[in-house]
Amino acid sequence: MQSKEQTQGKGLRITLGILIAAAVVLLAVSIFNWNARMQYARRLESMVTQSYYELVDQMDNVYVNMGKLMIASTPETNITLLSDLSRQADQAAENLTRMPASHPAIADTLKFVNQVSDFCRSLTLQAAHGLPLTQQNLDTLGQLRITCAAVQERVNGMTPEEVASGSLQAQDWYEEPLASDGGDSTTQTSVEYPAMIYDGPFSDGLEQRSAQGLPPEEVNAEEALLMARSYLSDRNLGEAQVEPVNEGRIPGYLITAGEPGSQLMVYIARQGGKLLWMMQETAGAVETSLSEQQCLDMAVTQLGAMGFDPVTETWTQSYDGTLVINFAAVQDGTTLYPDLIKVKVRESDGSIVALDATGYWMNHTERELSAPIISQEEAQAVLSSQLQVQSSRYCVVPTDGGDELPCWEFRATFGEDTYMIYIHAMTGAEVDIFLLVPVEGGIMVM
Amino acid sequence: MKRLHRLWERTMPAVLLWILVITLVAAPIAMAAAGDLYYGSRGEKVRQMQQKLKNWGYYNGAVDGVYGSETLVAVKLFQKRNGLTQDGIVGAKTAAMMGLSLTSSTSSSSGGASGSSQNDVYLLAKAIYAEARGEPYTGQVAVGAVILNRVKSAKFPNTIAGVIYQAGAFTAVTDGQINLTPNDEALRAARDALNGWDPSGGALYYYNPAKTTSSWIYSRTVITVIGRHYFAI
Repeated sequence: MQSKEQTQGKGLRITLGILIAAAVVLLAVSIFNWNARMQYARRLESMVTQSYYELVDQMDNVYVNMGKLMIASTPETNITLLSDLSRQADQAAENLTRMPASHPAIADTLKFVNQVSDFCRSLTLQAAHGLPLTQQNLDTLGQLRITCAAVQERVNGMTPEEVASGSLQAQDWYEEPLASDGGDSTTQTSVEYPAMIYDGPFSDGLEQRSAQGLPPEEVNAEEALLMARSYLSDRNLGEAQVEPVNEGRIPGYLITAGEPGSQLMVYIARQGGKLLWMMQETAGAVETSLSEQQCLDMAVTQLGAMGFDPVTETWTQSYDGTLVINFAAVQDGTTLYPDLIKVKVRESDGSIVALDATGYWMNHTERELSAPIISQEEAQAVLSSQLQVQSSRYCVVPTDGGDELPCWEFRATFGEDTYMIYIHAMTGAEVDIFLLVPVEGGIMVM
Repeated sequence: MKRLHRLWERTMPAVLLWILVITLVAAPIAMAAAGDLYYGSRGEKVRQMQQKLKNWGYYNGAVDGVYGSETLVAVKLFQKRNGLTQDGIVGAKTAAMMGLSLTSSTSSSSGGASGSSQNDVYLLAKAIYAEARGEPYTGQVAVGAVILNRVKSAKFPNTIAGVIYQAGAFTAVTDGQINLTPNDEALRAARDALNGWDPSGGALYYYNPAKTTSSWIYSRTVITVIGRHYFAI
């Protein structure tokens, strides 16, 4: 009896021991995991906090530099201040996107900062061409500076903890005032700044552009379907579905035909019933029985049959048994780079499986092409003496802000690299330089 | 003494069971690598796994992101049927069998192509695959186009990576599906989008009305509908 009790006591102690050991292991694992978690959280928080403090500094610098710019009197100071401004604002935008804030919360602040950077970059270019800041430029800068002060005040008023928690709303940052509604309490403290129209990719003017190449008369859904059928005469559209698209850049009709897996989508613009884009689902075809030149020729023939004005190819890329060809419209031997048509041709039979003529219809009009002031020889003399020129042509190139410049295009090599260089045909200025990077199946223009 | 004996006899199975449970739970947890899913795990990945198990008929419980006992049973059943060790831990092997991505390390199977542009194609393809696989091809190109439209917009970050990884912008980034390896269709769609095709009509947003809880997104003007996605500006 005695010994049995002893054995039982021993068993109990062992059981308890195991239990305690298990509990200790569990506790240790939990503590380890918790520690690791806290470490990750702190690392993330410090990254956000770093971005926040940098943002504060950059906004301060933007404000200060804008003030200096108002009274700077030499072109050298202007260029230094403007390029610094553009860089600081660009970095501020980058840090802003690192905030753990939702898109609606920071969208307006981000737009403002991006536009400041973009606007200052375009003014830097203007100054680099020897043009002084105009009174209008200074007025715009003055207004931007007022908004900048408002943004700066908001950003300075935050605590790093608030920022890291990601709980800040649009009204905590900076919100653009609503256009006409008025009376919205959340926007009362906002500061307005003028619509920014300048030569840069974030210019407000770009959003307001309409399609220049489309005729004014409108087509209805039935006519759009008929247009689609005539554009794609060799293809059976069958039981096509037509959906009107009333919003977006170019209103029109989205026509869908075919079964999933081989679906064909065609977009016909409401204005003029023109083909804006089309796309056919193609499983990766591997057969490439046609040469690049054969594909090019067949594409040109098909584009002509569709009623597009004469085009010339600019660059190609081949992948998945298809060849993507970029065409630009040509007027009197001048390549019109803004009027782009992209075509995807199946390399097995040369048929067009996808087409995008958005650039073409946005820009294609009869241009008033004046004779170049700078001759081809004079333009070539501007080029770096290091370059071996291979070919040249006269062309119209688009700027970031949607303007067009008449240019001499030179294709030239330096060592192993091939470049495209654009010289302004009226002023002789070096407008743009592209490096052609060979990639699998084609060339990437960078 | 007799009473103690009886008490011991009665509690013994319970105690042993406890030890068993603790060892079963604690030991695998201690062994599980970071990122593995096991009894007690919580979060989006568990939710994804539960959804998959439910779709395949292994699991009947709630898809709540909590790895509980029902989930454990389902995972073990899955492991049994697929010839895996029935430890209830969703590690690399089990996850691969489920088609689940555990780690957030970026895969580098981009085909060895170099240059930032090739990286752009791959990154965009990852986003398209994670966000829009199963959608019509045109819808996948449109998702890629929305990302590129955002890059061009002043209201969004100015790089493809910036747009894709912007806080809260895409659910696929939040729940880790962005790290799945894209298929050929997604890569093709990414190339077409980068080459300028935009079936979205210039949209900056898209959403699936069946899955969206954000009321803000409904305030945007819808341009077009492709597959299950509404494309808006």
